[in-house]
This record gives sequence, structure tokens and C-alpha cells, in this order.
Amino acid sequence: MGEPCDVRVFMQVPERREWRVPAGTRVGDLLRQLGFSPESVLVIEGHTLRTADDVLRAGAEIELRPPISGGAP
Amino acid sequence: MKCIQCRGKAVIELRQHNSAFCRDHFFEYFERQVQRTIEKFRMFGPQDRILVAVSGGKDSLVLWDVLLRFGYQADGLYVDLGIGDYSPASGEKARAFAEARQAKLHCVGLGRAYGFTVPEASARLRRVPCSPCGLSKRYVFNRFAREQGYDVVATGHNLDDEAAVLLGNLLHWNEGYLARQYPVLEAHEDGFVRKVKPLVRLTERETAAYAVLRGVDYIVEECPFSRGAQSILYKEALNKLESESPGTKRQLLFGFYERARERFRSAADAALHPCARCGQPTTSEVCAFCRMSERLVPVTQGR
Repeated sequence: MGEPCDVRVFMQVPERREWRVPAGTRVGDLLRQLGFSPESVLVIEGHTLRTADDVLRAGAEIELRPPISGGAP
Repeated sequence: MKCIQCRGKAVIELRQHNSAFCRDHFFEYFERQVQRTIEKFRMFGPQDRILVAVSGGKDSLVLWDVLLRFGYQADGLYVDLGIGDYSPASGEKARAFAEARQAKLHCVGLGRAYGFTVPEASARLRRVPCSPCGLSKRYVFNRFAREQGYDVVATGHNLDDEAAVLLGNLLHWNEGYLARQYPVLEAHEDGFVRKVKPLVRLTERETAAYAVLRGVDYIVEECPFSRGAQSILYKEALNKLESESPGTKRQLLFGFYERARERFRSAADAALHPCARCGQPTTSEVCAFCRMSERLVPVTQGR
């Protein structure tokens, strides 16, 4: 269990991963720490998107979702 | 970060345009790009019956969503490729989308209609799954559209898809494919239905963002066969270039359309005639789909 002031960050694809980060983390710093460029993932909270300068609030659930997809046209 | 239109809070930054938009102005931007593409390439009009090639993924569902918002006569066709748990899950997304919007969705099961699935074809032909998959989808969409009287087939190919295909065709100098790579493929009297790609100005990231913000529920999991696909390798290479120099993908693709494609035109002039088996257009006596099908399904089983 994470601390109540944590933010849960997760990915579903290409593999399931999960992190806990402190509330107050900026999205741009989060992506840098996890090794993602801002262009390579969407930062989703509920039905909206977060930009690099947004600050994550305590208790937030944040999904990082790569938009890339493949297969035959 | 602020929206460049209204100074409200931005939800997305688009570095290639040096822009950021709030939710409403992003919708406006996105839909304007689609409408502009439809008009510039004279893809279709309000009187045309459009068949949207629906996979359950973000691009095809977003395309269908936007066309319905614009008021076009757009029905969907979902092809069940028989891929493990992936096909039922993606089919469910397509069905839920159609039901929520009271839109018409047709479904064709490759196994039921033609006697084989993509995994079976891949194993028995010893070819990567993307090869029989792409061939089957192109065949079924064209045949269905033709038989059901649709004027045009619309696919959700985006800027990343098309730039990656272009890169692959350039690396291998596939002149025939280069000649045909364009947002519109005209109908052919011998049986090709007109095909259009209205999302070609928009990146994969923009399409995914539109889906999330509009609440379009798409299949997030990738096709299990797409891992290691060459198209993904090309996309990743282009994304590296794009991150250093925003706008590279657009310049590559639209530069090709405007300045280079015409030079390959003579490579597309192979004569078409009806396939001896199914009547679909082909440059050979028997089309590639029927040749594949005959290797997979005993002739007596029929199609």
C-alpha cells in the first residue's frame, strides 16, 4: 500500500507497470524520472490529459499510455 | 501551459505546430484537420455512402466518430480475424461504439466466411501474420463495399502510419507501392472501390488524445502479432527524428505527396482485370487472396 499522499502511476501497454510518486511531482519531472519523452506517452487522469507543467495531486491515478500501434495497414 | 486560442488551461501540447490547446479548441483543431483533408483531396461528399474499416482501435473509431459528428452517411465494417482473445475484445469495442451512437456496424468473420483465420494462415503459409492479415482485410473491405453498394472505403491510417509505410517503401524502393501511396486511391472500373484516409494529417498521438478526451473507448492492448512488426520499428525511428526536429514526419510524407510521388506514376500502370475465381480486380489471372485461400482451404469447401 502506498502512502495517502502518493500518486499512483501505471501503464497497461506494452506491459503492466506501476509506480508510486509523491504528490506535488510535476508531470515533466515524472516522465524524465521514468525515462519517457513527453511525446511518447499520453498522461491521462480520468477523461482528461495532463501536460508537462501540471503538478500531480495526492490520491491521483495517472495512466501513461503510448499512442503507438502497429500491424498491417 | 495555456491554450493558444483562449488562454485557458491546455490539455495537450503539439510541438510540431508550436501550439497547445484546451479541450474544446483541440477538438476544433482536430476536426478542422479532418475536414480540410476530406475537402483538399475531394474524398467524398454528403451524398456518398461511406464504409469505415473498423478494427476497434483508436484510429478507426475516432475516424468513425468524427464522420458521424459531421453528419456523413458512415457505416462500419469489422472483420473478425480470429486472433486469440484479441479479436473478440476488439470486436466488442466496435459493437459498443456502434450501439452507443446507433450506427450501423457490419461484421464479417474470416473463419466463417472464408474458412481460415489469420493465425492459421500465418502458420500454414509460414509468413508473418501481418502479411495474410493485411491482404485479407484489404480484400474483404473492397469486396464487401462493392457488393453492398458503398461509394468509398475510409480507413483510419494516420500520419505516423503513412510516414512509416513511406519509409519502408523508400528503404526497399518498392516503386509500385510508392506510386499508389496517397490519401485517395481512385475507384477502378474493374472493381476497386475508392479508398480514402481522412486522418492522414494527424499524428497517432493526436488521434489517441482525441479518443481519450471524447471518451471513445478503444482497445488499448496491441494486436499480439504486432510486437516486433517492421512498421513499429519504422515508427520508432521516425519518432526519434521527430523528437529532435518536430515536424519531420509531416515534411517527409507531405513532401513526398507534393514533390515526389508523381515520378513513380508509371510503376502503377499494371493492367487490372477480374480474378478468374472471385471477380475482384487483380493484375494476375487469380488474385493474391484467392491464391492464399486455395493453399489454406480445400477447393471443395468453397468460399
